[in-house]
Amino acid sequence: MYECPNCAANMKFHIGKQMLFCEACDTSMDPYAFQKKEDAKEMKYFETTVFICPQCGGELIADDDTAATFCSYCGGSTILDSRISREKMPRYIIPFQKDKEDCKKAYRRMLRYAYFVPKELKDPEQIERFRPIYMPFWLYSLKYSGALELKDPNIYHRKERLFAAYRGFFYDASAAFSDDLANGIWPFHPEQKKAFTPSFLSGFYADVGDVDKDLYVEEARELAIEDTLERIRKEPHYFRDSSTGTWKLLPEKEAIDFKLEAIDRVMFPVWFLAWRKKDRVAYAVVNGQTGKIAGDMPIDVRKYLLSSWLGAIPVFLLLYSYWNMSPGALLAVSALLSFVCSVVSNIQLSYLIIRDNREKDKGFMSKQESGRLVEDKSIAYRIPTKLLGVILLAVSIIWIPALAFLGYVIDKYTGVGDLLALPLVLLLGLETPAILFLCRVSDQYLNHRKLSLRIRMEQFMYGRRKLPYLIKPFVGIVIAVVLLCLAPTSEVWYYAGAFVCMILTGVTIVNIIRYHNLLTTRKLPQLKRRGGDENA
Amino acid sequence: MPEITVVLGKAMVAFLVSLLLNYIYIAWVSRLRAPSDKEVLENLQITWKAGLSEGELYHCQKENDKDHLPPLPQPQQPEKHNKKRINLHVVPVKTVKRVGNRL
Ligand SMILES: [Zn+2]
Ligand SMILES: [Zn+2]
Repeated sequence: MYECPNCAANMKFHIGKQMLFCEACDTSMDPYAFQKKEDAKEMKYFETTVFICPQCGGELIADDDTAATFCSYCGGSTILDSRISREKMPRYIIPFQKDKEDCKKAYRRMLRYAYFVPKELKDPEQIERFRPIYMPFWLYSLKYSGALELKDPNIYHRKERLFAAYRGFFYDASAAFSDDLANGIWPFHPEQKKAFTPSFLSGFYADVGDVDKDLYVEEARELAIEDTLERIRKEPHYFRDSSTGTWKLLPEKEAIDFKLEAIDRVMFPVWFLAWRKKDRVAYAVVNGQTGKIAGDMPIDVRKYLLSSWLGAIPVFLLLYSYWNMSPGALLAVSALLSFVCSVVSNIQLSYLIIRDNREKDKGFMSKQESGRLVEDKSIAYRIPTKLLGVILLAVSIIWIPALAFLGYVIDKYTGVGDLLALPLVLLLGLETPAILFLCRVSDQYLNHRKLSLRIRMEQFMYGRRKLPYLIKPFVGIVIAVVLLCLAPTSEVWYYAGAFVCMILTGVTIVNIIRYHNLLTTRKLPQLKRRGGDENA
Repeated sequence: MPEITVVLGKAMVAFLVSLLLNYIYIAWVSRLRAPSDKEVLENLQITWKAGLSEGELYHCQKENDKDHLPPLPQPQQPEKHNKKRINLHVVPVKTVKRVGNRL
């Protein structure tokens, strides 16, 4: 309780005013006015009420009983337990700058073109459940001050001095807040932070941070070192080309050892919404500082089919009027569709692997009892060597000439020369490299760069287990190629082949939708709290 | 082949095309994007300066292989010691300011 000096009502933090505000008598007050002087530096803990969800174990700090009606982490409408708790005092806070109206607007904007989501997501009552939650983050500063050793592997050695400081790294410190959503509403601007005092939380919620404070230090350090090396490389003063008679010095990575200058617990503002469907949950989050939104968007299958039917009408009219279809062309087109489908399902598979393994979500991983969440046990292994990746690449390269040769042999001995056969053989041969290439592009776009090769390999292994899923469009292409090469005289063969090929494509699309919904919803969290770093 | 087969074939193609395009749109709309390393760096406050003091350049294998070494790159003002020194320029302080959008 932060009692109003005028009327003794409870004062709450007001986003528009950026002050504590009493609704009863219109009084505003500086949040720090409630800070006892001796508290300012000494206090490590503050006392508050924590609500605990009996279903998922999620914990939420709130001084308000309305917190007790539903859980923001699993979306369940259950009565939450509460207890008084001593919580670690964060060092800084970024107060909310976007209010609930901004947040709802952003949410509606996000869903405006998402005609395919279940209608419950657009339900006003559901949108009302957006909660302003302060999410704990770790804020790191790294510094290096010392010798800079530049070394040519053979000849020269050079010593200098370097001062480098990288300040303002932040990493999600809550296991309940998944990293991909945190990334989706990136960035926060930590330079706008304020010293924390508990009165900022009045009228708001806060997550209980529980991820170890050092968890992301290596990641930050690696980035700082990479950037430093990059700057040295760009500096002609340090790096000259030997071919032009000048010297060339290479910095040693190990020589630059960034030290932690500071680790601070900091609260960032996030509007948080959970939507529950059976044993899965989807989230929407809005950056309370910038208003940026990110959310899970599962597909309502009926809406998807309906919109596809509607979309098919103009396509059909176009084909009906302008396409003088030969049986061979129909077969070729259905093989092409299979190809597109197979590329899409391959790309999707790499996301599924990332999600299933939750490789990137260190915060979440560190709180799982086994240390690893795996939805499908069959993919829970690592591939130890790069060899497999190399073999895969080699096979995909040899694949093209091998198939071209096969096409040539078939052509020679059957004496058919259907011109469609050659492009199709090439298509089939190009499939694997095309998939690898597209995955690579999507990886770079999503910054999965570092995981890339291993994920490719896991995808390969996973692909073997998921063979029925991946092989269907492939089988369709093979049928089409074989038929076009054999060039039977009866048209029935072409129509039958095209039919089988398209059925297989359709089945694969159904699988794609199913996996999409697995990707855009999450397992109910099972949070094991109180495992964090108690000394932080 | 009767006309009906042709129409059915075209209808199936149209439906599959529509299903695929629809899904590609959905996948695009519902993607979650992570910031790249470059973006993360742009959001940091970085102070970076090197060459603060006089640098030192020498052969690493000087002791073992004295005779076969190429000459050291010629500094602007070579000194007549067995350990050659060059004066390095002071690189000005570079501070990367945050460029993220502020709303
Ligand atoms: Zn009052
Ligand atoms: Zn819950």
